[in-house]
Amino acid sequence: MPSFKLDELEIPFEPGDTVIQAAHRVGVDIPHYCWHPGLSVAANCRMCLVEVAPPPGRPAMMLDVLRQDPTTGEYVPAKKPKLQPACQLKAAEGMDVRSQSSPHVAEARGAVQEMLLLNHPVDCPICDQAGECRLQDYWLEHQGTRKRMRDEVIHKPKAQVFGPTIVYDAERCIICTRCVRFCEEVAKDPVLDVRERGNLNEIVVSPGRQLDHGYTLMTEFVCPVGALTAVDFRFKARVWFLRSVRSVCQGCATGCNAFLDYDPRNQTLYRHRPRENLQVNQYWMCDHGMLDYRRAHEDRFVSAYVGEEEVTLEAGVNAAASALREVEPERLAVVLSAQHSNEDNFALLTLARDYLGTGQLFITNKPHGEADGILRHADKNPNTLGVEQLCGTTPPRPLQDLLAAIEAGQITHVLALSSVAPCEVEALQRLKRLVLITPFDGPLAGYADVLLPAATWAESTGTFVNFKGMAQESERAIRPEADARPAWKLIGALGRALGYAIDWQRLSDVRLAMATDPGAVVAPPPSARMAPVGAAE
Amino acid sequence: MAFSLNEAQEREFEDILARYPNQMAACIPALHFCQDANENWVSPEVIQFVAERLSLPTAHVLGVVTFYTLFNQEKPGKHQVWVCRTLSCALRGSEEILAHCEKRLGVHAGGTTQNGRITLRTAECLASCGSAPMMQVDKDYYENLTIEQVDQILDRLMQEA
Amino acid sequence: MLKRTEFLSKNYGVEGGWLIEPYVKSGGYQSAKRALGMTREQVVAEAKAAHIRGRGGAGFDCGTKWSFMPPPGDKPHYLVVNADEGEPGTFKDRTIMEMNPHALIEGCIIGAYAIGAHAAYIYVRDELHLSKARLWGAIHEAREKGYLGERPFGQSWAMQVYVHTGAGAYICGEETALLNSLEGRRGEPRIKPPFPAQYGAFGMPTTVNNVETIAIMPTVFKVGGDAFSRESALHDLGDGGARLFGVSGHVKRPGVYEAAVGLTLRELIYDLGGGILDDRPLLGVIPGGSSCPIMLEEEIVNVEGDERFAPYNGKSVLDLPMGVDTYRRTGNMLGTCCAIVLNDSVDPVRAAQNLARFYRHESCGQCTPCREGCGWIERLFDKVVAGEATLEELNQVHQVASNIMGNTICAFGDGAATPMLAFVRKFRPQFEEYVRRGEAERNARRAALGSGDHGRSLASEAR
Repeated sequence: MPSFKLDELEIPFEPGDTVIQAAHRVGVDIPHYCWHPGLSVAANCRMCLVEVAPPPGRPAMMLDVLRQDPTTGEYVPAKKPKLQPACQLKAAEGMDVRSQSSPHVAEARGAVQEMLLLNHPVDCPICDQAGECRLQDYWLEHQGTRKRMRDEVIHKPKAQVFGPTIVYDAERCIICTRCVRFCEEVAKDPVLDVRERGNLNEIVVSPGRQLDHGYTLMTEFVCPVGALTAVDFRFKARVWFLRSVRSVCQGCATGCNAFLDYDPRNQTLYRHRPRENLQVNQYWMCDHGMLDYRRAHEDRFVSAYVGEEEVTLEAGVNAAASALREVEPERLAVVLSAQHSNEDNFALLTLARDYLGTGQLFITNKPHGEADGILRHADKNPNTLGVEQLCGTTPPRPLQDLLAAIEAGQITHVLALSSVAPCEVEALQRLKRLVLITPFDGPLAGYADVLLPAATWAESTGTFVNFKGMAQESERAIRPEADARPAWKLIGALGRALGYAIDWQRLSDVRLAMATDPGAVVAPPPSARMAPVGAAE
Repeated sequence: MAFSLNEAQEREFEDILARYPNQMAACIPALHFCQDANENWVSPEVIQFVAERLSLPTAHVLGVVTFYTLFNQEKPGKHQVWVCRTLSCALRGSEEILAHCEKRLGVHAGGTTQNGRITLRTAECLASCGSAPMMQVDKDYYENLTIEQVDQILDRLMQEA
Repeated sequence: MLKRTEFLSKNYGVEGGWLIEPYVKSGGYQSAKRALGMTREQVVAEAKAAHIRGRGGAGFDCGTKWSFMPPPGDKPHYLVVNADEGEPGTFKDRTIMEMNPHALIEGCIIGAYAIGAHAAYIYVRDELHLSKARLWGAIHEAREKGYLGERPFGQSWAMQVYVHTGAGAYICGEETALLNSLEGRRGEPRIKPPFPAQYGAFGMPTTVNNVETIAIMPTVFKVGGDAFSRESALHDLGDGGARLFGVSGHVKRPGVYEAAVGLTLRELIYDLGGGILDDRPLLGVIPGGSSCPIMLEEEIVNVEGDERFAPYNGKSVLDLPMGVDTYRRTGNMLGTCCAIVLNDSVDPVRAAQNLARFYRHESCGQCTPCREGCGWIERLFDKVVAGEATLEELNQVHQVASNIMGNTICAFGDGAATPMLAFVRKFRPQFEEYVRRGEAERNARRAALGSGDHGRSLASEAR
């Protein structure tokens, strides 16, 4: 592989790479605002300027500038080399690129940084970007001086509503045009553009339109400063109090890699952010996915119920056990869930096949919806393929088949995971007993005789297989609320209450059992680089 | 009120489109054409019209309109007067010309006289440096100006039917 | 050396001189006919022999530029003529379009053929309504004569010329901003590479030439490339032919004059321009549009190690022949050859402020150093002129300008920074004088306030 030199580092590159791209791939960051690995090159921020040594024997291109003698105050004509933006500069074998090691680069970046802040309100104390703002980070790294321009800044519109989800502050905007390029190139809806010119430039939404396509939060997310903020996150949290886990979006079968940001002090989720994975979602997430984190706190069951009555978890498990004990295996059906992880489904499948001895396996899922040709998949379940793979040669039958069997009187008892359903489920009222393990309220919950409160994906670690067949791990962010427990744990407790020797205390216990089952896939730990809060692209 | 072109104008509009290999390229000439047909300004309706006819996002058209100084986003007076004030003209007295215009018309640069006849503006270099000072009135250049000539021009603009 | 010529300006000032009849009568369109009978390579070679340095200000050799175009293939090629004349001090292209439009149209045929294009767009700034009308008139006349259209001069080289208008933006004179504007976008310069020869108008191979560069081509093919180049005193420096010189500001006869390359500034100012207005001393000259550094008479040529400069060493820069390389080697910039002359009645601080305002107003705002830097410099100069600047702020001007220089997407940044650096460097005492006077006034005001106890009495009244 060819390589070039960046300061003292040897950077390998693929033909066609730019210098910044090749460096980014190996985890070396050349300071930048406007460049984004997933967008076209604009080269407008000029933060990534680097010095390139001329080929041997050739003079460097020099420019005339002026310095001042510090003692006499006299002007002194000087030369400086012509710098080049690393985002635009094609990497070439043996190239000698100086980024941190060039005093000319240091001066240029300091100047760009100072100019970007020239008319900036510096309202960090009330800005949601604070703590993950490139202007702050780079000020520290590349400028570090007070603002020399002490006059009134140029005032521009503030708190402009761009659409239902996004607010724009033109004074904080650095006109990097990432948002404009994102809308055009990724969201395929060129609803933003730049208006005016010179230092009056600002971003504008198409007259007669709103910023309302399916990727508005992503449009906000690519903003490297506090110009675009999300209504959902504005004034809710300070990012330095947040912690992140590497999660997998639960919104559809694409399985977008995400960071799930939460506050450990109040065990509350605050947002979803995309996590780079070139095989799955590149750098992006859709609005549905980015807002999907909210679901983890909504419509929850956090204690066990027997009928309408709230009971202790132990009482709930015992009631579930006695409900299942009273039925012949042929009349018992078990419902797996495309909403739950491989670990949860494996636990249920094991209980059903190996202990309860029923072959009546079904799967439930959310109804299919729309695909957008970008990220969103029509299958709105994160683990459909995972469940199918688990079941191997005898795939689970759809929920509709179960309802027919219930109507026909063949099934009288059901043990089900999750409360979702792809169809009307009135037939369930004919059941004698429905034992439901679910984190959320849903169509099945109304028919449950015994309900055990499962942890959400945010409260438990698990494996999800996306529609491409990629098994991905989603990490636990917060502790399960109240009596909620990971579903595999509840299933283990249920098994023990039924008198079986199931000893799953930890996730690793389940995974150890899965290791002997060829259909049971456990995802390797997330491979994408871990970024601190806000530092992802 | 929606903006539209009459039949003759439509034909001319089509002629403009025919000069270019794609529709977007006609954006600026189309805006000029519609501005002329819309009392010299690009109203939101004109932006909508041009965007639709050229299959462009309205944000793009608005971005173009606001980038160039000759697209009026507000309706100007019946006549537009630009006084060039860049260096060559400044050396030959454009400041006096401008000050005189402001005083005569009772408006600052950028303003329109109360009777709506003249909008006074400043301009950056109009490529008439050898005949400075100069001003542009609508589509005509007036060069090597004296205060007396300026008075004659303004009188005519204020008085003509 | 002053040698007046009339290649382009013969019919200047002649009523109806812009029409096709007088143009054809004096041999017009014969060059285009001749060129279309040659091979592309021959046409490019002829242009190269003429050593036409781009007349728009950058001074790149035209024939060489044409040779960068890929051979004709599947993609259409375009010739784009930059008629967005707007560099302060520059007003020569307008005279061609108004008084000799057919030279430009004929040049378009030659240039387009040389680069394999069948269409030429002349990008005229919108304010030049007369130029546009004359060009359209010339295009219609040429079409009627069959010089444009499907088979010009019976040759199978279809050719169309269109006039495209801008809408008021100096930056569109930058060739890639011009291409964006031609495509119906905001006139923001493109990042390069790719260069227009690979990816130009509508994404196709394109050459952008200045009006005068193209308009002189019929002359080149009439008198022969080498012969035309030898008109110039700087033929040996690869700077050939004759060109239009403009002079404005404080001269007695401002205007556009045609002369062989090699004219000196002194000749332009005194012989052609009639001398300094009011016979006052010269403060300085901006030789070729406002982006060039201002030159002072007392500056002396001193180029070591090049015998071609030996005759000029030790002389005033005003006596150096005006050429792309003669100026470059002496730390000056030739630009468009349209000089702005300032006599000693001019306050250089106000002149610099005037230009700073121009550059702030015309910056497209795409990239940071230019967008913010031009505004910053204007603010600083405004404060200097208002007597509100400190010495520290005056000392920021060259720092800001030095950090715009070279750090921007296009040459506008350099063009804005260069004159600012020259002004503060060459007129530092005048700038300091403003600062000192301002400080003295502030101190006096403060003293007056302190002794009169205004602060306290106002406060007690309010109570």
